[in-house]
Amino acid sequence: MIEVTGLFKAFDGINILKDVDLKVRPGEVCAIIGPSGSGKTTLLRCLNYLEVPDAGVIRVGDFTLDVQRASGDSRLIRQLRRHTGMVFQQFNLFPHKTALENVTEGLIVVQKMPRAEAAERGMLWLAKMGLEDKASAYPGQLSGGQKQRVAIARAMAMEPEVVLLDEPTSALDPELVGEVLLALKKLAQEGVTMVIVTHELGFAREVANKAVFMDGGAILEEGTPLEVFGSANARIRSFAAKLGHSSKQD
Amino acid sequence: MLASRDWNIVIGSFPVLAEGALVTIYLSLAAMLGAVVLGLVVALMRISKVKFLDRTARVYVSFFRGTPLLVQLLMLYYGLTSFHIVMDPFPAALIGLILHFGAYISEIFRATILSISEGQWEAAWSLGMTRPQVLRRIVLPQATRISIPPLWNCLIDTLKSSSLASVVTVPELTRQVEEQSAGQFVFMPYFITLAAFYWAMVGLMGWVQEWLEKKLEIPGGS
Repeated sequence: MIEVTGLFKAFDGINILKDVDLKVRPGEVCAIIGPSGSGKTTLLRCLNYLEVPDAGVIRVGDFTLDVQRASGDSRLIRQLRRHTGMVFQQFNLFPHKTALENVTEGLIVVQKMPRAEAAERGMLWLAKMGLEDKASAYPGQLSGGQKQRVAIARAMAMEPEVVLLDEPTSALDPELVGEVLLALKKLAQEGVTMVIVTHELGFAREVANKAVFMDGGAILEEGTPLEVFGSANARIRSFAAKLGHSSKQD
Repeated sequence: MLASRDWNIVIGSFPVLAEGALVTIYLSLAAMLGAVVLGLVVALMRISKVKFLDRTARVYVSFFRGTPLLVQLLMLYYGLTSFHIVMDPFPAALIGLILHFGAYISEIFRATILSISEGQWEAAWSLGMTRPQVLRRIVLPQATRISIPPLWNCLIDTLKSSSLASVVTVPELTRQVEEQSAGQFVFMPYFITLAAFYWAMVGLMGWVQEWLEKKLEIPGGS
């Protein structure tokens, strides 16, 4: 589970996150939605310190980090990151390493796992992502959907408490979105805790147990996806209508 | 002017020239190795968050890139004697070449390190890696690959510039040729031979570069 309270973040004096509280229980899938510039990606990136928050308390599993006390303590920050996995919009696979090496890199270097054991676990996760035959392929030889599934395997192999996903399908060709969403759906069914920033409202409705609508650096509405999408709030209605419209054009 | 008698004299002194060539090769290889190591260290200092390291590196690069190699060699070999530091010719030339080309190479490494996308750092950090681990495992291997062409320019220049070591009396190829040609009163054939020696050595380096680039190529591209 992951819980954040009183999260603040400003860039150049402009408040991006204003006192955000969020709690995601074990096994829950939380979709963060909202218009661009609403702070949803910043919120996600603060959760593993890729952005340094100004204030707040982040709790992942039994690990708690108070931002104001931890700032600059790289050991605490690394500990926080070990409890979280991250999947990026642009995949960010290591191009000089094979799919399997991408997945085992953290196991070997960070967790100091013996190579054979790491390879075994890496193959397990590649297989779960339907990529066992791509283990020795390099990222440049994979399609976008395959790359993102390797990236998910890389995050999952570390066995984090929670996986953070930053618009994981936004950089994909439309015909490749489905295979990534399917992989994520499988993880959700296995009880993996996820926080996902997404524009895929259909996916959010189907897979997420919890939805959060952000606007102007604050959480405007939260609840089940049905509750949030069905909200009477005018901002949310107009946002959902716009997305619904654009997805029909696809 | 280019009589065959002259060429016979040149061919007759090949054993001496070969000795000089060996000194050139030895001096150049040692200088390249030293300059690459120094260049990497200085590049890491330049991207360090510690201000003192960055500033020290800037001053170093500014001086050794900003003054002629010949002047640096003169200072090392002749100049330092004013401070009662007397160096043998070979170490003076070696240190001069390393300091000079280390400055250029540090800028090559700095540029290629900075060219690796922020996303690579972020992905590695997300796995819980430390900064040295990210550098060693993720950033430097990729930066090294793209460094090869500009680095080779610099290494080729190191080899050719080792001829300046002749000024500080290192018995390398150029100095041997100068002495032979002055002694024998034969000029152009010697200098053509000298040029051919360097050209051949640089040609060999080009071959190594191609081999290395192939070896470091990533299947499917990056």
